[in-house]
Amino acid sequence: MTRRQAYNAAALGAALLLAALFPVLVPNGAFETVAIFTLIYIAMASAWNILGGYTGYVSLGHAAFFGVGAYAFTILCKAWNVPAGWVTFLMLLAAGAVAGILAIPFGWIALRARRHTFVVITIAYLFIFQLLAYNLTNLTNGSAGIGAPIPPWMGSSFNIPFFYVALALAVAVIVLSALIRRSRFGLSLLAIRDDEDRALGLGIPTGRLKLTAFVIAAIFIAMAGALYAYYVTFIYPQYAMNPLDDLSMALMAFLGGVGTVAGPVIGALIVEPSQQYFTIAFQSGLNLITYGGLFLVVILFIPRGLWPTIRDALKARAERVRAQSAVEPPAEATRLSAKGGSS
Amino acid sequence: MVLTLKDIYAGYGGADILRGVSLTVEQGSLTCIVGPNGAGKSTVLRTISGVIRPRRGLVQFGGVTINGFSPRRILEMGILQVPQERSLFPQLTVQENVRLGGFILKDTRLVERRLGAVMERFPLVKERAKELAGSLSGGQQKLVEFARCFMLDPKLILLDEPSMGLDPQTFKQVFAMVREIHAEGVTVLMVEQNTKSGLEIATHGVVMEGGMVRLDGPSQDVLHHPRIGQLFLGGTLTMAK
Repeated sequence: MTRRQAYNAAALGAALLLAALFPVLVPNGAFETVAIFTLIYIAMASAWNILGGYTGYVSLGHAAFFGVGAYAFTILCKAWNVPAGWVTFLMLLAAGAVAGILAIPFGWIALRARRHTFVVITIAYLFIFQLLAYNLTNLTNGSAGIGAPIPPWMGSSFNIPFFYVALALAVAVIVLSALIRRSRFGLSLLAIRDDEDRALGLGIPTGRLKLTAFVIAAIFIAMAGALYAYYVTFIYPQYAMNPLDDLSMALMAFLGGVGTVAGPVIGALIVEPSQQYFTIAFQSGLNLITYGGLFLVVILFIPRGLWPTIRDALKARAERVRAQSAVEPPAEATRLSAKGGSS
Repeated sequence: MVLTLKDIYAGYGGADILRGVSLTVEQGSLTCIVGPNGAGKSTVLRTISGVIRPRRGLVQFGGVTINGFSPRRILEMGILQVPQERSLFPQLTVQENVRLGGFILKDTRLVERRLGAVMERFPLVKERAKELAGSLSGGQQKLVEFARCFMLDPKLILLDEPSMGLDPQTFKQVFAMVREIHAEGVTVLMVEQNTKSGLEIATHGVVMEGGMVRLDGPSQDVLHHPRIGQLFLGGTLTMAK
């Protein structure tokens, strides 16, 4: 293990420990709620990044799968009489599976298009799913909403199970994202992002790989949706399939550094607590204005995102320092040359 | 004979660019196709690599008819093309670009072995392994493209105008690399605008015009053919003599 790898591992370990100790260090229900939503968004933005960041196919429709996960969780829990408790969290897997199966045909159709057309198709998906949630009343109870199992935990212990499951989900997606980034599959996705036709020319089956990324993103976003449904206990079409969630995932990834493992995590850690703060502090649409302003700032001034920009600036600074120390002659040599010059 | 084209008609969108092209490429040769713009030189390479399907005629490689084969299947047979335009992924590192050259290989240990061998053989790849391919000069990128071919143990390399857009110094380096690749026994079929330089390093020459082969034979014979300058090159070769 190199020194840098050891440093990275130590930093990651410390961050994970700090996150795990959060409910102990900050035993406050409101802060725990913000932390749970932040972890859910870390999972969502990191999953979105596997498609949008690695392949360059920016989806503004994956919030539909968040809703699919939320509804699948709620409906299946009712249908299978799943009791509320820890075991209910296993239903997240079922919700992910439902979304994964649905994502295959929808992804296959959308990925036949590229760039702007793809974006437009995914936006259409979101509204198609939202309309279905409104109109399939036998299944979703329409605009009246549908209740999820009521968690059995009460008072100050209510948030704790959700916090640790959200943390586990976020860590799982980050680890998966990192593994993909380092794999042959991930390298192929990055090649697709750079130039899909060139990738085809090297024998890379771009269609299959793009679809795999689409489905992976859908599965984990749906699992986040299922966790959300269990946490809030009641879901409505307009909140379960919310266009703002699509903007949030994209904004978090772009702000932190799209196409990097750390970027969406950093973005979610900045955007979600800020959004919660603005919502509570101003109780108006100020958070939406902030979203728009932040998007503009990111695209105009830091198009690569915070993480790559800061990382490269630090690297460039280190190289400058190294170059300067290599050029600067030792003090004794300077004195000798000064003597020679004066004689 | 490693490659044979028999009476090929092919083109884009229904219009034939190639009109009855027949040529052969000998095992271990360096064949250079020359000719004016629009002669169909690059179309010949695209037809061989499976990007364009011929409307009529036969393409045979090692005795196997490969008409209609997918580009991937043709790649698996050992036919690799280095296209005219830059074909590296600028946002990926040099090492990642070379590694992708072996994408169709299933054996990951073989990929690692080949990557190591390519790095030994091409010092540029080793020195700049961690740098973004987009940060290399045009000539360096071309050399990395050559290096990438060797991830697949090529049997036939198709080079589409390797000298295009290069400064004289890099041009020499790239041509030296082509010579080196050929000297190692790899069969090379090259399309080149720079007729004199192309034919000088080649063993065989093919002259195309209007989608047809007008002249072929040993490269020196083609280079010094009395009519070649007047026919295609505005008399430049005649003047050079």
